[in-house]
Amino acid sequence: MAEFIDYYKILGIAKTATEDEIKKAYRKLARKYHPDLNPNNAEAKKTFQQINEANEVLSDPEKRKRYDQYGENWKHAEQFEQARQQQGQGSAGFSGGQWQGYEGFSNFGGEEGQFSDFFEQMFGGRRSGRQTRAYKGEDFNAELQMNLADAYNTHQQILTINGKKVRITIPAGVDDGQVIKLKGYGNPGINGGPAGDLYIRFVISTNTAFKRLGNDLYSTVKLPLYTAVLGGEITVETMGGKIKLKVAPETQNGTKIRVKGKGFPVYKKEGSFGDLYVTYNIQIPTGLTEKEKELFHQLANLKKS
Amino acid sequence: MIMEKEDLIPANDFCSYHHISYSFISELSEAGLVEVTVLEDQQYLRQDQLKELEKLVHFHTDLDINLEGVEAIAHLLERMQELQQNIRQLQHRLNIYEG
Repeated sequence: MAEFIDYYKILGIAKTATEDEIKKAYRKLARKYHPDLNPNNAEAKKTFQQINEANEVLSDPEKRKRYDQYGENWKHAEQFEQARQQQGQGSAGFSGGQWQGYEGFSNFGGEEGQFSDFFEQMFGGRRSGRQTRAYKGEDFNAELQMNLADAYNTHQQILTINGKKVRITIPAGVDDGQVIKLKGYGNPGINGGPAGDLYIRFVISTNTAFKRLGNDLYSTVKLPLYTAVLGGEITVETMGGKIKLKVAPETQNGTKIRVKGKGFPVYKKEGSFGDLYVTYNIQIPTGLTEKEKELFHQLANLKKS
Repeated sequence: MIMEKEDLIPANDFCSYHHISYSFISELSEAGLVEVTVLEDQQYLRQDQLKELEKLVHFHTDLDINLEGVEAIAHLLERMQELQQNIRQLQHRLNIYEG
């Protein structure tokens, strides 16, 4: 059973409020919480839906009357049903016309299917007959989690959208936070309007030893002291496999080198890669033998003299 | 930019659908918030800007905000989106050091 909702409280008005007061209260709140004024704010969107629903009921004298009359006792189903039958239900129909409209549901007037259960039960669902235009269906926004290794390769993924399975190809190099649009995969249109679109935002987690910045990758590798001092070769991991790097003699701790073309694939540019930046972390030997200690002493004394 | 006529909506149709006068579109156009294409003396709007335009129309008609207010909101929203984008990039960059 849906909970009773106090629409007056939502709009912050008295039960005796005039139509003008309702309108003013609604507009004041709508200006604050309208989703178009609060992009990417789920909380504001939710609040706006409540405000909108309250206004939907209270700004319509007939609905307000029913709400005032049965509202608080609405759980008395029998009485409630009777009231509904007597009042009939508002119906929406397509009035025709050539202009199909391009309104998405981010527009003023709230979103279909977003009214509370209370509203649905009290007023039998949809809004009153004034909504007869063809509307574009609601756009969906979804997040797709993947790890860095997945984003490194072009791959296909099957998504379930509205119960339908959709196979999408995700090109290598997709960025964290990047949004792609799948046209027509949103909610179906209303009254012959086109279907909405699906926007997928990629959320890429870093689960590798690499940090990514744009198309470049960053890693830190351990470098043995002797290789750092004398120079030599080490094997380092890249996301595409192991490679050998030449180390210059007298390499300092924290030295950062660039390995061209061993970074992340560039989005939709096959064969093109960013760079890999390797930072050396020189390892000081531990557990030295007496002989090794002696040799280090000798080195130290050499420096002093 | 070459524009196919199918990508254009007659501005008058848009105005009558939304119950607004063309002067509102014209003023938005002067403010640089919408691009009006003129073909054979007829004003047209590009389909790809309708969603954004409808948002502005609703600010005006439903929230009772005058044109100057709509213009200010449009600029502030643009700025807000830029800032949100900046925050996302900075968070991402921060992850490199903290992640």
